[in-house]
Amino acid sequence: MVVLNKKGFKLPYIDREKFILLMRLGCDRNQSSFYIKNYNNINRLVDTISGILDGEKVTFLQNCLTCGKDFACSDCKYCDLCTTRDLPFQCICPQCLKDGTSIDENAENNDL
Amino acid sequence: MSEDLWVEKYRPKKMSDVIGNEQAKAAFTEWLKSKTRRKKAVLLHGPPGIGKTALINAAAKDHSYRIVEMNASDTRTESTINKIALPATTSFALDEFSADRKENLLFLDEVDGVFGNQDKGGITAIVKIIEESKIPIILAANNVENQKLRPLKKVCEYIRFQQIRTPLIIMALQKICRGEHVKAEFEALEKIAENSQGDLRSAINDLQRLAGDKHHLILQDTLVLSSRNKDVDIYETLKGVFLAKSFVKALNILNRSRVDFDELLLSMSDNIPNRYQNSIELGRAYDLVSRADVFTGRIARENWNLLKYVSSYIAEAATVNPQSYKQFELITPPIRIIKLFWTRGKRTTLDNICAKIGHRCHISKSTAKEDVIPYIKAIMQQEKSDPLAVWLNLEAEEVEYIKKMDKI
Repeated sequence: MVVLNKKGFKLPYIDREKFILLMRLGCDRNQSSFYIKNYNNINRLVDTISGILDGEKVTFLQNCLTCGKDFACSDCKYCDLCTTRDLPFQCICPQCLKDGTSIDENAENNDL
Repeated sequence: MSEDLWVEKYRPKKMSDVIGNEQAKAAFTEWLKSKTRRKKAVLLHGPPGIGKTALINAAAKDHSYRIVEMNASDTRTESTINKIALPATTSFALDEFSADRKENLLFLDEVDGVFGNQDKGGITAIVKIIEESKIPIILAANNVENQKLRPLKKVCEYIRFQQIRTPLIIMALQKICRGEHVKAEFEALEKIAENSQGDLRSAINDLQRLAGDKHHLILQDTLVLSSRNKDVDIYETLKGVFLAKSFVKALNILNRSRVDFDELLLSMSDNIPNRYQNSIELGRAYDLVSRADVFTGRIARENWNLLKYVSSYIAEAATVNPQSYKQFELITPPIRIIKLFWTRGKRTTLDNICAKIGHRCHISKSTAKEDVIPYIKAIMQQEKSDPLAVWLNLEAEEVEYIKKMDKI
């Protein structure tokens, strides 16, 4: 399994066709690393990256909207039902969900 | 029960209130704020109840726009669209110098429903309006895979919305419970959120139905909830069946799918070689797909009771060995359909040539294709094409096409 950071990740050498495909699917290049610019084809993009990495399972860390921490989808008990499992979208970490802290409350606390 | 619908009462007032789809929200805001838009319109698409319309309304408030809306309840023929939308997009209001002035924003909701005789010419009119518009145009749709929406792709920027994740729905329900003074068990909210399958609107409606009167909610109350079946598209269907750990799970996904089974069978046969590395498993999977294909043929137009066998064979083909699954790049749409699309021009040329030969020689197009064209090709390749081409009334490009033909 390969864990990638959506803001920037490196890939092994890829041929021209694969590079064009990545760009079409929403990837972009920033100096020496790739990053996700457009999320419209995110499922296909992840599959393509997986193909480049010899079929390794590709996962992205999730970012908690409440506390801002990164966490893995495998920590979440709803991941089996989730249609966007392991994809780089924001969510609520199990701890914040358990505590019942809302996004608004957290924003207020941060303001104070 | 209170009079107000909670979905309306808790409708987001500003963009930051809209839950989930952060990237889509950012892309939409960037488009709305941009002075030099690459495309004049934006099409927000995704399943129902995930905040597309809510985001547009909130964005209009945040950025001071006046919404001119047309939705599925309006008849959207070419003339109606031109009557309502065209003035809104091309003319200026008299309050241009007022401090409270708001710019117009045209919002066409559920554009995937603009079809049929009732809405004749609707899509063409929308494309024309987008091309001539001076104001931002926003469209929303649930499903953009329909061929009839293809003209929109040239003039619209697409932004995809995903289902809302369960923890986010639970958090939204908790917030509503606090606002409505409802004491709800966490497990009950969890059950409602899971049952909604990413549809926040239906989750809020379920919460109001179950807890609106009594101000408390326990897990037992949620037993009355009926399971919601969501349509699954071709990509998700393929991914789901290949990822399924058992035959039953794969079958459940197929039963929820809205895909055409002919297309699904073609996609299965394209993807099976990538799925199974072992030749015995591969052979078994192909055997099952071929059986499914036989039953698809037997269904014809009326024997829909045989559909269960098609689903079963496909589910079995996808789960020949669930343990051996390794992530791979799915091939969709089917290669055959792509090839047919790319060769359409050539096929049309060949069809026209066969029609001309058929007309001259009093034979059918298929006979011309199979029996006559090989001889005509041989004659033309020996540079004796002119009299024959004139006699058959062939154009210069058609003569060139015959000369360069590999095989029929």
